[in-house]
Amino acid sequence: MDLRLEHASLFVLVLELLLCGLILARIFAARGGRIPFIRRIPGLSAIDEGVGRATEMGRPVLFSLGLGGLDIVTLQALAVLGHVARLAARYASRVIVPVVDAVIFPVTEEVLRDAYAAEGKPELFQPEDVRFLSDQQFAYASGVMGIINRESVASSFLFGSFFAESLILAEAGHQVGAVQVAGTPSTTQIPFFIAACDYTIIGEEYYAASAYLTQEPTFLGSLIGQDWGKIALLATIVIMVGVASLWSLTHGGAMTGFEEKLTGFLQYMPGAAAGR
Amino acid sequence: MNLDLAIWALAALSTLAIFSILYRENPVYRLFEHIFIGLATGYGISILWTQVLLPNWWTPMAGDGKWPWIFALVVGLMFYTIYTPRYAWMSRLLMATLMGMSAGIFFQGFARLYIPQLAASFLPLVQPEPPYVLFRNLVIVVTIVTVMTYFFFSFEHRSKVVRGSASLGRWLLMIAFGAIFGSTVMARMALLTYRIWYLLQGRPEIGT
Amino acid sequence: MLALKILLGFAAGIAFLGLLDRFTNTRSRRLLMVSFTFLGGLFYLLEFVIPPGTGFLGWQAPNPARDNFLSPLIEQIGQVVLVIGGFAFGLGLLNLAALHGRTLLRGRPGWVNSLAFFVAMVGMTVAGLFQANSPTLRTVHRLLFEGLYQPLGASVFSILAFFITTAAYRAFRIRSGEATLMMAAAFIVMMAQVPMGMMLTDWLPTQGWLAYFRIEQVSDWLMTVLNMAALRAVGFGIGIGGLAMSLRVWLSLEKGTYFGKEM
Repeated sequence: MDLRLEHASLFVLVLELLLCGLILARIFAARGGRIPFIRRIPGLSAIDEGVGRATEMGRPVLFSLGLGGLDIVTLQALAVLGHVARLAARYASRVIVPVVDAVIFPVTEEVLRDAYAAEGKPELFQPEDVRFLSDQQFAYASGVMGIINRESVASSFLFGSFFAESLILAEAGHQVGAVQVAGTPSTTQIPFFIAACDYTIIGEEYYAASAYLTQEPTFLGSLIGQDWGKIALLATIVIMVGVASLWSLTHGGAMTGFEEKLTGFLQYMPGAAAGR
Repeated sequence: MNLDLAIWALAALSTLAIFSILYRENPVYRLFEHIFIGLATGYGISILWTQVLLPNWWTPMAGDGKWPWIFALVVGLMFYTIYTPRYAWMSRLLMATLMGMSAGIFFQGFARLYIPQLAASFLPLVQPEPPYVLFRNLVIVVTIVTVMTYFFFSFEHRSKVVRGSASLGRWLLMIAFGAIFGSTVMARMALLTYRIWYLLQGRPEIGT
Repeated sequence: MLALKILLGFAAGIAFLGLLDRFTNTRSRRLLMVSFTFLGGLFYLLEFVIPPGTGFLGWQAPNPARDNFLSPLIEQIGQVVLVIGGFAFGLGLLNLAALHGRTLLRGRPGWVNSLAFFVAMVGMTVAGLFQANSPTLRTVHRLLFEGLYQPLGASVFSILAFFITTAAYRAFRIRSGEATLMMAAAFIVMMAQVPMGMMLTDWLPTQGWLAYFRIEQVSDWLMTVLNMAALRAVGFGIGIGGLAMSLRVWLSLEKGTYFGKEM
């Protein structure tokens, strides 16, 4: 189906407004005092374990923010880093953060510095632990491999956008016996993290991390709103599967007309220029 | 010395140095790691100038007379205020603006990426479709529904229906991830095969 | 004259930032941050939701069948953001130079590696920027790029072959139903890509319903049906999660060590 969606059609507008409305409604409900329940996510529970292990062994923690730039995915990874950094600061552990993007680098340094300061241990923060390595994928991977081996990290956290280098980082951590927790919305790399890491956070669980770790009402409410959004999508799918089935029954199995009508509906844009 | 031979020799040395980490981290690997990062940084600088700043900033400003482009440098310098406690707020202002733009772009990206996939999920599950197409449609719809059920966060999977659906979703996910894993193995082996071929057969003849 | 305009423009820009710092307090800075975040996102959102052909005060896009009045600005703003982002590279460069510079100047262990870093960086920069003007630099660039940079990258990439084998070996050993399912699917897809694997079901006919059980057909079905559907479902969740996070960032509802900080 070739849909032209350079601009929002009526359907897209209604759907996105509905999803955003659901999310906002739940955010404000949670802020108003109705703290929602979130089920346990094993990978996220293991983060505290990983930092604790590093403290016991007297070895540092490694946290990789992936290959993304200043985007939503990396922002979420920074939120998890903030939590890890505070834990590490509390237990007087080191967190080494190799960074791939020059724009993210000062943000990362600030997140780490603030975490140590918030725990009353600003003197433990070592600026050399936040290192810009390279913006090239495999130069970054070789640098991280070297750091993991030389520092003999006890725990490795891999959160963010990853590509082919994901398995290199994960296996390097395994070589030194590190406990590894990985989380990425890059679905094609998840199998490698599952094979090589102790815990893997899959798909949407990645965006649930900040809610789960901080238990902040805004994030919890947003997560519930996401659930409602999924219900809305599921309901749409179920209803439209029914419509498609009915069409199939009444048109002898030929679906071409259905696809044409669907395309027209999904692309319908009131007020668009003639000839589109 | 023949340039091609020199290039091959350096390449072979680099390959062996990197492969040495498979045994353990060692001074040779460390040296070449630092060389790699240095080269990548230098490459980044040259690309940044020749492909980003020169054609998009310097040429319009100094070549075509569009002097307001200098304000881009002023804004870019705001990044560096993060190192000064007094002016660090300016870097945060710039980052927040860029994050806002990134968020705005996502609304469009969501529609372009997921609406066509949503539409492609509206599949008929009723005869008189040929049986194999019906089976295919059923598997797709069931997979989508059960996998999405797995990702509900707001309730424990206590109900039998929900628990069953989420379990089935997780199993189907594992099969899918296994398929991705298997499909990548050959590609990775091909990379290694080429490197080994290069070491063994890629040496240029001396004198050519 | 142009040089003067550029210098004056630079001075004016810096002066403006200085005034902004002087005449704003924590509250107004926070308001500025929230406003700029909102406006940054609003531009792209409006460009997306305003139908093509819509003009503003008589101004139309060059191609009204495809664009609205904001669409031509997308490319220009993209160019500006690209340039501004490019200036940030210096942040990383400063960090690398400081780290390796300290090691080198203080003679710390590993100073040889730091020296190698600087030599490689300077060599590649100079050769990359000026190779057009000098045959010697072109030669140096070839040596560095084809002799070192490309092979180093390819070698790191090819290490994946070893790692994928060790990871698969460990995963095959895990005794859980899910791991077994995952590895069984991986095995089928792997076998379908090699002649030896295809021989396993070579005896099945190529026509008729039994043909669907040939390993290459099963592998193709796993990839194009089941895998596609599962990734689509995961994608919907990720999309909604990303939408929620984008909404929180856009409306400055995102709290955390970075966004909630005092200014």
